[in-house]
Order: sequence, then structure tokens, then C-alpha cells
Amino acid sequence: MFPDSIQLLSENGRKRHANLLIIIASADGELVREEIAAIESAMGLMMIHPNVRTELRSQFADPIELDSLLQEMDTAELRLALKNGAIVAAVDGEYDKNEIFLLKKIAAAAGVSDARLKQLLNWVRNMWKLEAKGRYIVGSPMEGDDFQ
Amino acid sequence: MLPDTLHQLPRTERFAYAKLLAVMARANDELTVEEMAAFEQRLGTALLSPEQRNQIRTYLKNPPSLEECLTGLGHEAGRLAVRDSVMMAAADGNVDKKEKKLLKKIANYFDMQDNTIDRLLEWTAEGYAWMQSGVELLNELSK
Repeated sequence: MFPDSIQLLSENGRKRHANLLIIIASADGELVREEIAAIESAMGLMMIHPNVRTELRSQFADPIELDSLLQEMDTAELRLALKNGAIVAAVDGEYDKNEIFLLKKIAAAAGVSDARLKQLLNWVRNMWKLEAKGRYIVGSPMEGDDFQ
Repeated sequence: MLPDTLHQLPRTERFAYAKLLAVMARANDELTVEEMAAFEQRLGTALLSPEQRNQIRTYLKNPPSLEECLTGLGHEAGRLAVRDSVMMAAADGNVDKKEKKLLKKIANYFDMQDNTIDRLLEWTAEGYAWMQSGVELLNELSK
């Protein structure tokens, strides 16, 4: 994952961002290793304090409620969360219907149309190719990698 | 954030990977906020325990020798460390001579092609452009 503007969020904003990623990752059931790695990656990138990370990890099994979280976030935070949420939702393969439902709900709260959301999901697909290319360069491919 | 082979490696390999990243982070005796964020991100992706992360963070202050890091580091973890070291070194927008020299030395140790570092730097630039396109898309999302 390349540098991102989530580093510029306030301390509470970063916590809300992580909370939303946890909710999205949990949408299709219990968190898998790939989803946990994606959330840990985001928490690292945001340089969240280790104690706060411990607190956030306790929500892996019991995420907080989405609607109240959405109300606490401003439009800029919602859009960043939508972008990274689309990435986290993709980590275990295809988007499932629960994940799409959540992403649409966040998009609506952020004033983002369905057509723009579709563009965002296509943008995420290009990231798969980019990551595959990086593995190809160092000679450490993953099964199914395709960067062409 | 997308899945990688890193989290599938044995824990000892992931620890050795992170140790090498810590040495790389100190390559030019200057650790910027952007590099630190990239470093923390990779520790997260590696799914190290909080205790292991604390141990790795101490290496930022007292880095082990490169030889110590390379000993016992498997080829796959080593190659991923080269890739992620390039990304980390480039996070502040500049890869200086010291960093590049060390990167080439590590790549050479893992029998990688001579132009690997240059290709990884080009790939990193592609990644930045991709990330920027995401930001631009965000700015237009409500249109």
C-alpha cells in the first residue's frame, strides 16, 4: 500500500477510520487473516498509538454500530473511509453483497453517487495488478497474479 | 493493504523481514515521518505481535548489523523486504545515494537482477500515481 492522506487525519479521525474499516471487514462474517493484515496495515500507516490499536482490536469480534459512527464523520473523512473501505472489502477476493450494501451506505452518507462508487471499485481492481507487478519484479509471485 | 505473501510466511521469517526494514530505515541516519509511517504499515501487514513490534522498534535506535539481519533470512522474505524497503525509502519522495547503495547490496545478496532496484523505483512511482488518481477520484466523487 502506498502513502495515503489518512496520515493527516486527527487522532480521533484516525480512530474512526480504523473503526469503519473493521466494520466493513466484518460485514461478510468473521475476519480472515488477509482482512486483519489489511486493518493492521492501515493502523500502522496512520501511526495509531499501540494502546489504541489494542483497544481497536477488541472490536474485531464485536464491531461498533455503523450508523452512529457515520454521524460522527465529516464528508472528507467519509470519502477517505469509502476509498480505503473499498480496498479492505476486496482483500478476501470479490465483494460480497453485505460489503456492497455497507459501501453504498457510506457512499450515500458521503454524497457519492452509485456511478462514482463503481468507478472507485474499478480503481481498486487496478491496485491488484500493481501489487502483482511488484511481486513479479522481485520474483515472489502469488498464485493467480496477473499484472498485464 | 491488499493481500500479499508476507503474512503467510512463518513468524520467524516475518520478524527477520521487519528487522531488515529497520536497518534500511536507518540507512541515511534520517527517519522521516513518511518513512516511519511506511515502516509501521509494513509491521502491521507482517502481523507481528505487539511485543515483536516493540522489539523491532528498538532496532530503529540501535540497528543490528546488515550481516546479522541477512543471516537466517529466507529468500522470499528477503525479496519482499527489498521491495518494501524501496517503497519505504521512497516514501519521503527521495531515495539518496546511501539508501540506494544499501538497497543494491541487499538485492545482490538475494541474487536479484542488477536493474531490480531501478525497476522497483519505477513501480513505486506508478504506485504514487495510482494513489493520486484515487485522491482525484475522491475529489470528484460527488459530481
